[in-house]
Amino acid sequence: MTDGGESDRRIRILIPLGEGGHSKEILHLVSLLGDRYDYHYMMVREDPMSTDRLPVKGRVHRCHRPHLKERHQWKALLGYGVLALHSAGILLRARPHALVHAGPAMTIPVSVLCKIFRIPIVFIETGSRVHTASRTGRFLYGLADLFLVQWPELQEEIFPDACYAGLLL
Amino acid sequence: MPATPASSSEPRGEGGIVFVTVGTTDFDPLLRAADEAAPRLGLPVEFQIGIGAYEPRGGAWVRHVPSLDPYYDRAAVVVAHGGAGTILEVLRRGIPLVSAENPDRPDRHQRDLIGHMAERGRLIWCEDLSRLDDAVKRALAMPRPEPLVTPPPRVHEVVGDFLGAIARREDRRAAARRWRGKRLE
Repeated sequence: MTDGGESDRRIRILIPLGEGGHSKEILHLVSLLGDRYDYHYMMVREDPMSTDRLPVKGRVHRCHRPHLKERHQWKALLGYGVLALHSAGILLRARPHALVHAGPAMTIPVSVLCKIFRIPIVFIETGSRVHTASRTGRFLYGLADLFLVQWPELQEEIFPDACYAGLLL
Repeated sequence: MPATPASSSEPRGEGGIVFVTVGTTDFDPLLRAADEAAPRLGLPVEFQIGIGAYEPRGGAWVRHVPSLDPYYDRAAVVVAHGGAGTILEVLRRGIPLVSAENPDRPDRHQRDLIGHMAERGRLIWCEDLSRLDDAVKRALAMPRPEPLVTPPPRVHEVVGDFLGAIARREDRRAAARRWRGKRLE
């Protein structure tokens, strides 16, 4: 790496963009964090969202979208296998210093790979969760370095080690 | 029939409209129920139908719009799916809201926020779509709700602090520990 020294290095952050609400939340966070970081975005190929709507520009990496509702379970599993390969490729190209996301399930393979490669993970449980956890949230609770929830009720009832710092939606 | 989108600037009468919205996905059962109830509601009904197959006949409809604001501005009541973004934006505007859970969403998570807000009297939860007209009439009869106020997010302060520690090559476990179990109001 070329950077270093006493002051803050400029670091690269990988942001997986899932669906509707999840993307909206994480992009709101990007707009609040501002342009101090280099952003790499991971988007499914079919995502209709225009890259013009990214609040801070960055490189966009496209990946496969697995379908959980696939009629045959092996097809869903295969889809996740393909997504895992794409995720590994994106990690090699982007070489992020941190992964920051809010779900959904398509972010699980990249999260597991980050854990293996010791890349720090920040996870924000989606704002639709007040009293119940998402499956992605439960999984990431054991994986993420920093884990946030958007409702104090969820911290009290399910994730005591999480941090509550308001709603992103 | 009305393939032309509703004109957003066209002013409506005193009563406003019933605005039905399903967000970016599909929720045909809600559209069908609202369409059937439309003649009994006493107000014009307009629909945002997303990627659904059902095309309403009881009022103007549009698939997607860049902003729902022009519709919210004219709405006497909003009838919507249980997506968190929609619930919060309607309640923050102080518009009476009828919410219906889309049972096709993953592990029926929409019940969580709808239930939370319904318990607090913030919205009317329509659990039985065949009785949607009753729910809308109840929403129309209630006084205009106080706009919902949520504290501004401070998520970026926490995440920024953690990323700063990584940028300075500090111990990331220690940086994460600073925020564990914390509650920022």
